Amino acid sequence: MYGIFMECFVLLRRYFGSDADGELMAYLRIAIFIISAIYIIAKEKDAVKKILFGIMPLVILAGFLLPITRKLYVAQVDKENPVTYYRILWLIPIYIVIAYAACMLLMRLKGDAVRRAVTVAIVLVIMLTGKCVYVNAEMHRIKVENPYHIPQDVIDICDMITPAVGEENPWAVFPEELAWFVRQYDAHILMPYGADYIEQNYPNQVHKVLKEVEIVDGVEIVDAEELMNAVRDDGGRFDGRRYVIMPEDTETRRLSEDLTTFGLELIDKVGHYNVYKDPIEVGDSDE
Amino acid sequence: MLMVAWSVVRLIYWMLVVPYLIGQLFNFILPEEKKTLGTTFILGLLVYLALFEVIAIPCMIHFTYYAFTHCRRMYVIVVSLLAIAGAFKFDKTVFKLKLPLGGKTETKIYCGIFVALVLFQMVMSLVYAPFNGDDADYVANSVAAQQMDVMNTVNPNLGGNVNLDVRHALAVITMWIAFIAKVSSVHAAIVSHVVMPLFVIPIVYYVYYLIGKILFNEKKDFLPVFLILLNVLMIFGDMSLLISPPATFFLMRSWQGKALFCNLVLPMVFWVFLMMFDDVSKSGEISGNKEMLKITAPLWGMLTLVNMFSGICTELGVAFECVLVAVLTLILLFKSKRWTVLVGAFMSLIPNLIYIIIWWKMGGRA
Repeated sequence: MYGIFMECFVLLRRYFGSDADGELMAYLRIAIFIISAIYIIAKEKDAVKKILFGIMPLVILAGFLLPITRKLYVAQVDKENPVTYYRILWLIPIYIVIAYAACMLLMRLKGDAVRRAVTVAIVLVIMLTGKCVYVNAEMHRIKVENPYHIPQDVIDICDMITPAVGEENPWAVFPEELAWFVRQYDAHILMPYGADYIEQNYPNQVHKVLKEVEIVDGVEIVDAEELMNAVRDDGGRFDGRRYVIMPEDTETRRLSEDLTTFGLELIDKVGHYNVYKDPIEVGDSDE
Repeated sequence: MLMVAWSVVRLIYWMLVVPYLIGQLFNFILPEEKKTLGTTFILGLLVYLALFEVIAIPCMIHFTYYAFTHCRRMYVIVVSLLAIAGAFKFDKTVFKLKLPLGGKTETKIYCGIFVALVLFQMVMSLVYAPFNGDDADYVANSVAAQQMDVMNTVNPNLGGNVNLDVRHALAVITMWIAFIAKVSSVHAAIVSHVVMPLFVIPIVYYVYYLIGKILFNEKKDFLPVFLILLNVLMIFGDMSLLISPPATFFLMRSWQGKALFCNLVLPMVFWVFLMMFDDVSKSGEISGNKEMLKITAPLWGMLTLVNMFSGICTELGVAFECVLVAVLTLILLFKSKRWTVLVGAFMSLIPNLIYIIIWWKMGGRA
């Protein structure tokens, strides 16, 4: 039981940012929230507001930490994905509690100048103990180049390989950094691996070849022959055209051989990606 | 350029005008003092989304081919009829904006800061393109519906047909986004990444404004300060790396069901219950059960629509919503001493219970 309680407590601290900003900051944020709730309990005269934004948030917080709640959640609510347990904390109106407690404090102050100074101080406390969403690394991972908010290279490549009306859907291998976005732009393009394979590490031969590279003198070398075997083995199950999109060779990563030596046609270059088409029918390649 | 303008007009029509007109049709349930432009829109939006759920889920389950077209056509017919009926009930008095603020210059300055902060967040949603892996599922499903006329029966990551993914299929917000995309001729990725944040951010703050109006009933000068603090808490609320708090969802994934659930649905539940508590405190002035029912029934109706909205956002939300409604109803029971609130709460949760039964029937497992 103590172990489950500690698990819940770790989740709580993570929710308040122990993983990003350290334990101290997480405890500080938890303290701000709890002090706000206690302040509402102590000073609010309206029983309903006192219960809703003082007592209830603390009861939910206590309930979250109870091992029995965690056990019930895992057994009855989300067995497949117990990591979602932290979402119980969403039921606590944390932002309303803190903002309302702060306003209650301001209401009790006498004199406009004092009130203004305390308002600024509260805003500064929130800013200094919080973390601005706009500095999150994921905010800056994609450059805004178009209204789709998808890398322009993906759009250009998809426009190039998308099927005409009546044609079979094409099958295309994209490098990992582009694979996330392809089907967010064009649902006609089939892929050997996608976001779930990247995140969950599901087995796929093409992805495996691209991931498990040989490193020679600090340079990652993708085995082109193995890649082409995987491409024709996996992609051969589909009737449409096959494409392979590979980044140009760089000083840190390159293909062991040029893919054109395996019969692929380099049809275009988009940004620093080469777009290859495989003209060989799988039947032919088997022969 | 003309095509873009025409798409913008259609976006405004389907995302703002139609819900508003539907709200106008149903706002007779609201008491006179609550018949404002914003509340009418919120009511209409809730009805608009609930209708989508009622039409989309059967279409998704029943039709193997062209499911999205069937759903879209039925939905267009139903909401158009309601919108036309609503247009006949046009009431210009709701357009008279009555800001519940004092006349102090300082309060007006705070209001200006609040509006500026909301606009700042809206602009930032255009300037940045936050990356999130879940989009490869959610946005890809919307794109597949728009481009391939399917409803959650294509593998969003790889393409190719699959059985309905029970874990995500019933949360039809992705299909609603696809609907908006299709009827406006705008790519579903643009609707998700650009249009939805512009739509969701002001609505979320409007709901907080409605909550604040009840909380600061007698001290309205503090309402804009409360809203400014909420803005700052949101902007500086990106605390955790691995488990996202609502603020991170709100400003980085405004288009995802989970973001809508924790930032819009849950505050709406608090708003509806605050109105109920407000009515309880006034109940001394009301005589007779019929009079009481006239006041309480519309709010339970609103709560039913909010509960349906939770199911549109996320399956897990339905379970969470049941817990929150149960807790808040117990507090209401304690405050009002009227057992009828249990009946109201049960009735409001009936759509959620039906939803859970459908989920089980489809093979969903906890």
